[in-house]
Amino acid sequence: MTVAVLPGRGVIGWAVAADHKSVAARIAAAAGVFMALGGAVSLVMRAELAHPGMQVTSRDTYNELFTTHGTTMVYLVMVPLALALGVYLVPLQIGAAELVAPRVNLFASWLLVLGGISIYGGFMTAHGAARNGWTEFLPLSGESFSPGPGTDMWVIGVALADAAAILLAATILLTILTRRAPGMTMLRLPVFTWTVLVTCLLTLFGFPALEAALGLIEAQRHFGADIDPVAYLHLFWFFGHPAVYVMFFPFLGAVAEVVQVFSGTRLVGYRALVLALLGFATGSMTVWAHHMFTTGQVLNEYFAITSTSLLIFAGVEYFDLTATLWRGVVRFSVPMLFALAFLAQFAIGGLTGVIVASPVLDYHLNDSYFVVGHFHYTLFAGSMFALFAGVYYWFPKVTGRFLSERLGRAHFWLLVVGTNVTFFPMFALGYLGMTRRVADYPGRASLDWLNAVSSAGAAITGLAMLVFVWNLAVSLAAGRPAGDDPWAGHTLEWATSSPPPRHNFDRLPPIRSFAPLLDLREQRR
Amino acid sequence: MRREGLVVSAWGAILVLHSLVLFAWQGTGWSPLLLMTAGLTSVAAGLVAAWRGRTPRLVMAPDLSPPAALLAVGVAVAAGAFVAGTWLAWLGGGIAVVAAAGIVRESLAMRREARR
Amino acid sequence: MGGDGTRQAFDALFSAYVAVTTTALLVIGLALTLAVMRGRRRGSRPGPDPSRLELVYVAVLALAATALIAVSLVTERNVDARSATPDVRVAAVASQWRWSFTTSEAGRQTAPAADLVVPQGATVAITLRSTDVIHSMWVPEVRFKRYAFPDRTNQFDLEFPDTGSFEGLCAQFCGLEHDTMRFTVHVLDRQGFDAWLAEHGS
Repeated sequence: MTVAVLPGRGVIGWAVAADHKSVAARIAAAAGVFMALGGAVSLVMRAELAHPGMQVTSRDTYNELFTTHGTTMVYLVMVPLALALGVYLVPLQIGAAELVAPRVNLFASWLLVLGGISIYGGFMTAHGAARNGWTEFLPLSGESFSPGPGTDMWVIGVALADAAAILLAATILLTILTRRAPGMTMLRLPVFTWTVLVTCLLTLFGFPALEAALGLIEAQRHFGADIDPVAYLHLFWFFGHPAVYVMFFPFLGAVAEVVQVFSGTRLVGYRALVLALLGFATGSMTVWAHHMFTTGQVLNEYFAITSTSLLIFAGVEYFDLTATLWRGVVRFSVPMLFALAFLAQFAIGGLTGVIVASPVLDYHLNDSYFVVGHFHYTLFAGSMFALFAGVYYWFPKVTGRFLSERLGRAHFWLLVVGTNVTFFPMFALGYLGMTRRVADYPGRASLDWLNAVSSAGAAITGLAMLVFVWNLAVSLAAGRPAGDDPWAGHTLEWATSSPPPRHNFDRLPPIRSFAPLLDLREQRR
Repeated sequence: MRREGLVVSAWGAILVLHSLVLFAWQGTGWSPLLLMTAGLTSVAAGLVAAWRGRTPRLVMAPDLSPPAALLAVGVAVAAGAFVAGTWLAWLGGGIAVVAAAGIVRESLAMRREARR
Repeated sequence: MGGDGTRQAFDALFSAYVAVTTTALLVIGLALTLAVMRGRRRGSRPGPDPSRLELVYVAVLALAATALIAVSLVTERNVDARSATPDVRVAAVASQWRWSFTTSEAGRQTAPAADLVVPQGATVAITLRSTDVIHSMWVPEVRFKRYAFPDRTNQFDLEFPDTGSFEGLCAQFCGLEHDTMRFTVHVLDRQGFDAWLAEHGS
């Protein structure tokens, strides 16, 4: 039971509101703006790469652009959105009125925004923005090789965003452990909440390594310290690999919820999936040096074993979701379309990941466009599709209105075509010898047309995203009204109004499984 | 919170195990060190979470908290010292102190409300 | 035998991996399609017990992972192995934004050059370092790359099975002109290489 202390709203009120739904909305709005910026940057990049020769930008600017693109999508978009989903939905799914320590979450949400401003502020300095990739390896990010405040502003911004993520993960995890409604044991947590739980573990115990790595950069830049470049690599990737799973698990959770609801049946193999999630999460912490296979400085064998083994956990998750689809009757609403596309496309990303988990294969494919294709399949054709599944599914709960199904289908099909046309050619480009982070490439027949095709795909992808923005705008203004439970949902968030009141629930249904509303419905039959 | 925290400890214990395997295989180095640190920290965190006892029935939650937002500004400004000089650290620190005072005031007010 | 034909090792392993992953992708696609289509027919049979099937499936996955790991580790051991008696030694130095190669064989050594010249089929022992930031030496023809560090050297063996001129490039972002930091590998037959070394070496 909670008691409101201070009433009032307005613009100031929106900026300093501490309740978890406002915090989540604030993070999502900021991430949306950053996504538009990061996406626009990628379109300029693909315009440059469409043909050999420098037509659109200079080398310096291109290097700033690809750095900004990766930095934005990781630190300012996908990680924050992953956590924001948890911030909004976890209290609702576990029957709680609020997250633990709301002011910490409010604080964190502003750290994130200010961090993003610091990163982009680099563009306004004389030397320009950071330009050594979202990874900013030393010694290149050091004072002599990267003079000017742009890199420092990048370091500060990333440090703030990283701290924000750690704080949010802490409060969400504590909430899951301590604020569950009576009857909700750990093994009755919805699948989505379990995915958020493991996300919090990765963030809490993997992300601090980034702060240490950033500290090394500043130690070099301001105190002239002599930093071991391999030390930086270890610290960075010890953060960097869990980071990519943070940008995966909650979205997988969204797909799991959508698959259940739009098949009309509860998840097959719940316990196996929970075990697989926990196993996958431990695995995520033990694979980071596969990013260092070509350094000659790490025990490749160990990391090849841990990295390849991840396919077992992923396989269990695929089995359970497919079995759930099998058992149910599939409704092809827009959320389910995105969920199915995720399952197919993430498989491509994951399987190409198995390929580069083999050191000898990585000796050729590392730092090439093959890897760029791999991680865009997992993060864009994978996680972002899953994110859209969640957005179309939960939008009615958050706003009380549906997103347009018609525009949603247009968005979906354009995005399927766009992402596959953009990223599939990259596997060939990498195999044929095109390295990544290049403003230009030699005008060789195969590289030419593959890049041109990829850039055409990028244009289609951009169009798809515009359709989504249009859908958002018209639906927020005049979307079809949605009631408490428009989809025949299974989990507790559908047992309250859309949008939910400040305290989330007036009363809770009995909780006897991870699908309490489905239980009630089946009981009534 | 009782046994749930042990999920975190169990997860951490597996990391510790991995670090021991790595140490046995290759000796000391960054890899086993990083895993051991993350593992021990999470084992400890889980134990702390498991032992801390029950949450109070009544929890105060503020609707609005300007000091919390201001604290973020203070921290960000102080971090700017790496770019524009030490004076920013003083300015940011000052803002942060004011914000912290506001947070304490809020907490005291919430505690008074809870007692009523 | 060191630097066991990196190109051959990669091509064989890559073919195996592509076969396995493509099969997996087709199986996943098929399973998803069947699962989605199934419910549309009313009154379908409940199907096999999922938990037993899942255990079998996990066992299959574990076997697949083990097989992939085994073949990867064996291949890696061969590729990473270094010969005690290489035919040719090369000192490779990476700088912003050019390469420098010094070749030596049997007491004769060349001056640093921007391109790499090697004999066909011989074991070439390369010592790689950087003078400034991290770079990476990549020769796609032999499917191999290694980081170049400013504070330590990397040593590896390569073998070039075919004569010809092949591209080499920097594969680790190293600043403004990273994309133009390229070199050429000229692989000469034995006679050609001996002649070249006689002319350029001392």
